[in-house]
Amino acid sequence: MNLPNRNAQVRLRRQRDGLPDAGDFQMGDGPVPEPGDGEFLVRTIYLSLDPYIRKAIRGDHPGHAVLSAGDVIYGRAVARVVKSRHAGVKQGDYMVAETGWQSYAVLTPKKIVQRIDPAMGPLSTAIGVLGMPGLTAWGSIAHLAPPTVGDTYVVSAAAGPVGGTVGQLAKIAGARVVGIAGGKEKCDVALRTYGFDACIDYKKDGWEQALQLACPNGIDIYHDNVGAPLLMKLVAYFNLYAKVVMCGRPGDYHSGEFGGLSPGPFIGKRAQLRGLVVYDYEKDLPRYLRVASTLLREGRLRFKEDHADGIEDTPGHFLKLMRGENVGKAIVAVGPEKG
Amino acid sequence: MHNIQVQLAKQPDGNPKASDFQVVKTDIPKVADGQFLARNIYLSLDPYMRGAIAGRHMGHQRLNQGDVIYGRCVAEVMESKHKDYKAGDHVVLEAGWQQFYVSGGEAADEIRKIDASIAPLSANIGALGMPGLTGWAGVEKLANPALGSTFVVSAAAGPVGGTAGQIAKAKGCRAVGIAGSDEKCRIVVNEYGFDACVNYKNKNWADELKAACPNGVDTYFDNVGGPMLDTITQQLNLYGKIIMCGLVSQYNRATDGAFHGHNMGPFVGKRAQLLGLVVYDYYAKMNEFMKAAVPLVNAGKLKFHEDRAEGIEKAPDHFVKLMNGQNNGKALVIIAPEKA
Repeated sequence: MNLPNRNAQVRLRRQRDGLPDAGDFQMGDGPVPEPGDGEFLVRTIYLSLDPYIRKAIRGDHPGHAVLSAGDVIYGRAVARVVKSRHAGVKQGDYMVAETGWQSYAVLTPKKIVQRIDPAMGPLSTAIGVLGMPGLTAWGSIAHLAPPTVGDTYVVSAAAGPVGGTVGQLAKIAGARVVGIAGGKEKCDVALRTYGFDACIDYKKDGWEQALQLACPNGIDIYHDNVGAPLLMKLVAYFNLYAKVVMCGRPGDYHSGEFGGLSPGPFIGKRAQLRGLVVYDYEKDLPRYLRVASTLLREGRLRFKEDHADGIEDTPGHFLKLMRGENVGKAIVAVGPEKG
Repeated sequence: MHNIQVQLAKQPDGNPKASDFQVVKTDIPKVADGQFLARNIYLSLDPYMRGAIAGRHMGHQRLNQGDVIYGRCVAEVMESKHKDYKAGDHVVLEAGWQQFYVSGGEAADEIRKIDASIAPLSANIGALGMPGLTGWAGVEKLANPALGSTFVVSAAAGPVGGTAGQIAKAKGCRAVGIAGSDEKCRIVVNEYGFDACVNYKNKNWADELKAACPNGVDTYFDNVGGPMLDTITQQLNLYGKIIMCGLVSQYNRATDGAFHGHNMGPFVGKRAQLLGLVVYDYYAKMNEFMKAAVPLVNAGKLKFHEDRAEGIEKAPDHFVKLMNGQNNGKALVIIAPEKA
């Protein structure tokens, strides 16, 4: 992959309701921008695609104003500093930053999500297992609901970077780990790549019986990435005093009179539910990275990425994610790691 | 002598009506070896009974027509052929809605001997009974609210909410009640000594709650469920705790599928901790509770307010009143005088 000499961008073509389609996006192109005083220029390497982006485009996500036609789409990426006019940022630094869907971006430090030490692991993992998704898993397992040896630990969205990491860490901590995912391919990732004890395809008939068989001692901890409808089914298999970590983004959660969480069965199970927001654990990132990079090097912590190549493939890859057809962390490789 | 009992006439549909019950005269059963005869004095009426009748409450089979309604009573042992009980003993037991009950001392009867010298007999089904134990366990064993924090409890005039708030207050919290009438709020503030009480039937009650909780809500002891929980979650501080104890707003619903569902997003955003409370887990801690509660009662820091009806045949009307939120304080029925 060569260094791009123009700034290719994906912009919003139209703002509308309903599921996004390819016609909502358009390619743009401009000269590589110049940083002003206190700014720096980065080059995008790996662009992270995440479900929240759809809401962010419409201004429904915290900290994101609604986009107008012609605006560059929001997004985070692994990036490298090309030129800096800020004392705290050096040329050649790697970081995760709010670049948007483009090959270059001029930023200020408040757009930095996380600095990257390339020695920790593969660069792309900074938006996955060694980034915010991994830290989310760490907040759950190290802070909110640490399993004890022999516990049955269930996690939904099991093929994704949060679910995959939290399940593997639970397994390392001695739990029996059962994933829940949509489709055989995702379950294969949970079983073969991540090494879960079982994985249930919730799109298959009879999945509840399969889950029951996979959890012969009941469920002790459930890490929830998807929300109330599944949770209301799983509570039937909870042991007394079961713990739930509520981790789906607010936007993923269904609301409404009949779709939400009803406390009754949780009272009966004496369940303990706790909400997780990853920002609370940013101070613990260095400790997590020490633990996770070691496990990664030892091959005990694995990750699965679903790559597209080139910025122009971003809308298609995003639509695939929206359809739930991605397997593993959705990433667009925009530029080379070196140079 | 006869035994007047209240039986189920038909399963209530939604809010219970007096016509769902029937008052029947039967014989007083004979006492066999290993049994004792209890003379029921006070019958406790509690919202959980609505679910118990329908078989939706843990440990309770759905009742059929002609079954005696579940209920806990303060009683006096009249005659005993059981080694552990003697005539004149006072007990709390699961005797049902009736004047007399013969027990073999089984675990299912949940018999607890009580000391009549400690407090008024009726307190043993209220502030010093299961409702009080529930309130205490939620505060001391689950929420453990910090000194100076704000503790909010719904159904605050009732024996669970009233005890929970007064214990929180005794621990140095700001106690704020929520109740369904100005009269209930008067009891909560003037008798129980809460710092404030909000009548949720006022249109702007959410604003009134905000004014009563200038530092936000740190703990919410929820006896009610439903949309009220959503409103209070909005005022919860980060890392706030919600004790899920009761769902009185939902008990009259005819089917489980109609229960209110809460959007989980706000719980996540607040990093809320939701903790389920079932009082049965704390039976073994009854002595620990009494050790804490009796001195509070004696010091005037744990008060209770009772709403009494007289005569077992009044139990259905009194229960209907309770399930419509028209009771003030602990609902009980006087079945017989304390001294026979």
